[in-house]
Amino acid sequence: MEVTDTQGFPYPGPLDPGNGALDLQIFAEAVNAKLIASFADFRAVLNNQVKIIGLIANVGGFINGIETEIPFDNILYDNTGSPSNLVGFTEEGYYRIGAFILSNPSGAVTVNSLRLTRLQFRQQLTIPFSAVVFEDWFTQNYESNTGSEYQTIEGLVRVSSVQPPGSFLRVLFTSFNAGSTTTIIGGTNGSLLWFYKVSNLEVV
Amino acid sequence: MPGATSLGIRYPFQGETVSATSWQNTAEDIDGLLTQLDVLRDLSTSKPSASISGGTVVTASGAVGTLTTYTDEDWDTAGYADLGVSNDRLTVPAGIYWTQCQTRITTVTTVTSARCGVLVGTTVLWHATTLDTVNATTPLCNSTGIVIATGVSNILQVQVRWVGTGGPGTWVIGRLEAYKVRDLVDV
Repeated sequence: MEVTDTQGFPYPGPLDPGNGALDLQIFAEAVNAKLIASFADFRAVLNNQVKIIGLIANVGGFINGIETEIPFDNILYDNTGSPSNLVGFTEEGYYRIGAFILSNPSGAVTVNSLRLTRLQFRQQLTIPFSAVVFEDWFTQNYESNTGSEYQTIEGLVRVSSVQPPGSFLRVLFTSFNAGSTTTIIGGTNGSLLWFYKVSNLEVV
Repeated sequence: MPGATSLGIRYPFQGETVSATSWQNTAEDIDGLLTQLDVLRDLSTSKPSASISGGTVVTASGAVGTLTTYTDEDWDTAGYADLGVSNDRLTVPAGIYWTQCQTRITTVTTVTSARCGVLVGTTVLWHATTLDTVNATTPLCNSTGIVIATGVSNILQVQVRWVGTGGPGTWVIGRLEAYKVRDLVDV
């Protein structure tokens, strides 16, 4: 039996005993295997991992000058298989990440006070063992005495390891509103945290 | 009875006569599978996206969100835009989209805040922007974010609003872009 140079498809050689049925079966199985791999490759691109998570309800009590993690808890879309409320990655690759934060003072507004949002990517590597990598993206607004503040922050990360304890995202928020505490708005049209995969680490 | 591979490529069992029909069956099955593969390849190598821009809209301070309009189709790989029919939107099928809008407010005296946001159907997603514009009278607003479009057909539009003095404000250099991240369900 001979095989083609590139894809390795089998075909009978000049000295092979004639067995047309078996030859055709072997060829069909070889093509079948190649097609399965190709279908899987394209579906991996089209069915890329996406996670979008929001807040079931408003989260209040953000105190002037205290950085606090926003507890996202409402899965809006998730095909990653990661634990429901953990914004964790389950596949290595390159990802677009982002967050939309909507905040509002609970009472009095300190005019032109700062709102600082930090989107943080945390990754624990296996090589070098247990090295922890943090990457941060910041955005800031100054409250202009009109109520709600809208902040969007986005980035691109390389997820090199998904081994426990894994790689994940979180959002840290700091309000410098002294007049009252600040509330992060949840529910419909509320704050969001997301990621979606754009590429594998290496060419497949 | 022929055998078949896991994907359904037929082949003759040993002992069966290999006929022209045997070859045809195998070839036709491979042809059908490669045609399916072509569809996936086209989808994965050319993800749908569109961008529309231009146009102006005039609004007063404090007015409720006003839709922007567009005059130019920068690109459209999936038939999302039809400015001759509706000049204020992209119409997209179900899916998850990354969107961006931008515009600039002009012809005002002072601006306290200016916003633009993507509207999906009747839901406004203020995916940014409140600017501190104490010293600016022509702030540029930019808004990006992720959108889950669940309907068979979904309208993406941009709303703007501002608060300040003077005006009415003229919104210029508007742009709306959408890029399909993936379908809602696996293909």
